Amino acid sequence: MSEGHEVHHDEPSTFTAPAPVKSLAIGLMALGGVGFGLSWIGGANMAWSGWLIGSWIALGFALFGIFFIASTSLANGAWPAVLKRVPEAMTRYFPVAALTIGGVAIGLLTSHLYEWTHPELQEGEHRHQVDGKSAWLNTPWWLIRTVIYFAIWIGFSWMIVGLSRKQDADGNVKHTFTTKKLSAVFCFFFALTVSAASIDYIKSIEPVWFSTMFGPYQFAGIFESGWAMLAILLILLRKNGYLKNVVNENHFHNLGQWLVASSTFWAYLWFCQFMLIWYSNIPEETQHYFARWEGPWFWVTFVVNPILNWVIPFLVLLPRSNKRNIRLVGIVSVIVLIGRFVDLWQFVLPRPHAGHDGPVAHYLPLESFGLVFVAAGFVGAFIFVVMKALEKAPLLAKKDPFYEESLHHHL
Amino acid sequence: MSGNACSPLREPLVLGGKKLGDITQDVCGSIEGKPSTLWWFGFLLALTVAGIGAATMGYQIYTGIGTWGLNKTVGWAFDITNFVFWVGIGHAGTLISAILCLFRQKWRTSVNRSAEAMTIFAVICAAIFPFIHMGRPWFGAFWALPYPNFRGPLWVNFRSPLLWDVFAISTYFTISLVFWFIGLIPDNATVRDRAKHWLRRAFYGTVSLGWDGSVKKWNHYETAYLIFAGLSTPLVVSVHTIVSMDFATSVIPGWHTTIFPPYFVIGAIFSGFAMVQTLLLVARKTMRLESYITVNHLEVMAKIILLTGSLVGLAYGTEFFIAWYSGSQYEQFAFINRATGPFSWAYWIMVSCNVLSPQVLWFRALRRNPVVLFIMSIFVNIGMWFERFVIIVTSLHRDFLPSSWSYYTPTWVEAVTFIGTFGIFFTCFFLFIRLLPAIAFGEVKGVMKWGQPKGHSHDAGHSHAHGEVKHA
Repeated sequence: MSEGHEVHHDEPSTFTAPAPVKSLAIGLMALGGVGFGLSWIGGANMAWSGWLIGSWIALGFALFGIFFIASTSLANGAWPAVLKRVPEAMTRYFPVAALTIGGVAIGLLTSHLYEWTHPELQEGEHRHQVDGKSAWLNTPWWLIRTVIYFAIWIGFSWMIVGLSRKQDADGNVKHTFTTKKLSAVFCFFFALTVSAASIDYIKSIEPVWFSTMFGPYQFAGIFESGWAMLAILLILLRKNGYLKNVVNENHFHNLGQWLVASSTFWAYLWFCQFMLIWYSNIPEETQHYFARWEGPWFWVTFVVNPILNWVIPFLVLLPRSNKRNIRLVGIVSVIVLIGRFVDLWQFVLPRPHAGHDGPVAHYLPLESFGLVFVAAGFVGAFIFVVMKALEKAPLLAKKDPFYEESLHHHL
Repeated sequence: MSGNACSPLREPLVLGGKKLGDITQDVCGSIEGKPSTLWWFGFLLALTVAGIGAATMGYQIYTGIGTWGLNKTVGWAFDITNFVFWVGIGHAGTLISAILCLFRQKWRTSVNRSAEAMTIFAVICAAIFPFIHMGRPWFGAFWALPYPNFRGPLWVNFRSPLLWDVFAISTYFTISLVFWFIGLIPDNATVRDRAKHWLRRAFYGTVSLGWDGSVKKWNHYETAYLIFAGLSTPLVVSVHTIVSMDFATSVIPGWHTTIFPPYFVIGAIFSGFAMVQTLLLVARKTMRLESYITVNHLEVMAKIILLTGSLVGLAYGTEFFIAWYSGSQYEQFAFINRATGPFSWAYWIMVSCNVLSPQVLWFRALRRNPVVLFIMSIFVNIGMWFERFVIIVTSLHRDFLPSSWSYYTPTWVEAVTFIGTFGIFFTCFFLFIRLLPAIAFGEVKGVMKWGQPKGHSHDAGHSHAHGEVKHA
């Protein structure tokens, strides 16, 4: 590329959250607040569904942040060293995420968001199947698990980000090695907690249905949307004069590659899960897709969802020049985030066993699409927390042993 | 990536202060002299085993597959287990050459050539089993290949994942072979230029396709290499995905589960890397390649084995948990029967070899110990064979009707055929390391400077980092 290897070190090293980004975040939060308020018109289940989708999307960003740090540390990845403050700041959202999942717990206790909290409403064979899961799906154990998950996530990110801060002060390479060890242990717990949390927060919405693919499938969604969020945050910073000289199109090339790879990974798991269930045609499993096969949900589940989450990112970002076009990576990232909402929206809202006059309604796409604003509110809150967190540390980790290599990263 | 800004933590990929000429000499020299006694011993042993295997294959094709231990309930056992086992082994090579190329992992250069060769030989071994299982393989073309015919509606069954296998594996084999061959061209040209005998010149001249090392040729070569890497990546994933669908599209508890595609792919990478470890540990010792296949290379592969082994463990756990969670008594029975039924011995061999044995790799000292790695890689090879055996046989032997429950014991024919494929695999491998450059030295030369200390100031930083690495 024409830019060459000239590196400017006159980057602003301290960071103050730029006013336009703060306004954007606050604007989105306001939109989310209004959206959540209005969603009560559709009933408590509708409102809490929106809250759950937004909470899980934003929690996914924080999970991506810590997973990104841990996995690049284990793989000796050098290229992210110049931008590693951003994923570090993403992990600072965990305490807020704990509060929003606390909100989900209120929904669990006060509404019919999770049908398994009211097994008496299930009929016949379904009643039997929901009862059979009660050793796992019961309110106290759900709450205890939530506490365990957040203790692990917050504990490890606090330790790993803390080591990075220590390295800023003393420049000791030892912290890099300790981070690596912690990352290895963290990845072990990450795999277990994310698999279990996906079942607890999302899959158990439909308590009769089961699929062994569900954990990996949710991980793929977290992974894909995390890359998109990281790209968006970097673009917001660059637009406001930060990291402009150190994070260049070579780094965006990597982000673009990962968007192509992670969206394809998502599509692979999404397709395999559907195809195997469709092919075997066992009623216990097909019921989930049946609720989406006829009527307007079909278009959301089987057309819009794969287009937003895979077709667009894959086709647009496949050519090299497009991955190095920062604006285009940004546009695709926004599309991928909308896709993330669609993926969860089509999972949470349609209910296969909803009684026509029972408390659990089967919402249609047009009456529930407004929840996208609730989700946007959570994205705003996430951006706000990240901007505040970025103020607390130097924006460049100049003492990271991979810093120089990352500065000269060239593809 | 520009080499001039390499992090002080990077470790060299080539040890022993080798110069460019040394690399050529070390790799080409080993195929220019007369083969050693050790090589002859190994080759003849492998050839004998392959011969016995081939004779057994001839016997069962002549007599029929009634010579196997199958029965009405267990209609699939050793043959498909061996097939999946070998296809799985064939995953590491193209993974190393294609996916790691896209990830720009420089360490792949010393190991990719032999891993790719291993892929090709393993896929050949795999193909033998469905071929024999056709019973009358001379009709195979009718059953496996779709072509316009005069038999009315008699087409191959496009709805069957077994047919998808034919397409997936033949595509994978073709692309892997071409990819491997293209990678060999510049190195073959070097061997040709060094050749003294006219026959050698003719052979290596043919397999280097007139390569002259010009900038234009290199430019085309690298473009082609990258395109092949891009094409091979989805193929690596597709092959074991479709192999998993042989089982997962059924309605058999223990076979039908949605996690199978990624779980099989991860398991295949796991077993493939274990086999690469087994072979490279022997090759680096006997061919004195320790400067190129360094302990760091072994350690990186050990980490991949730990990662994939643990993911396989996660998949076992997920299957068990969801079998309970599903509330389906058939699912629950299938898994309880695996762990406690008549084949529980196979199940626990699988769990100990695949999930427990790689856990030793959490410790750096053990990851860098070739003896430990060798033993562990053998355990993984055994464990991954048993994984397929457990999935296939234990899900079948107690079916929905208790009156038809049975047991399965392989006959000598099945056992000898399986051992025979090892003979074929190693015969091919021994020929490969004698005939072709076993290390992609053209590529290794490109990463020689990586992580090497440069100048005094760097040197200090490097040795400092080196000291620290020992604590990691």
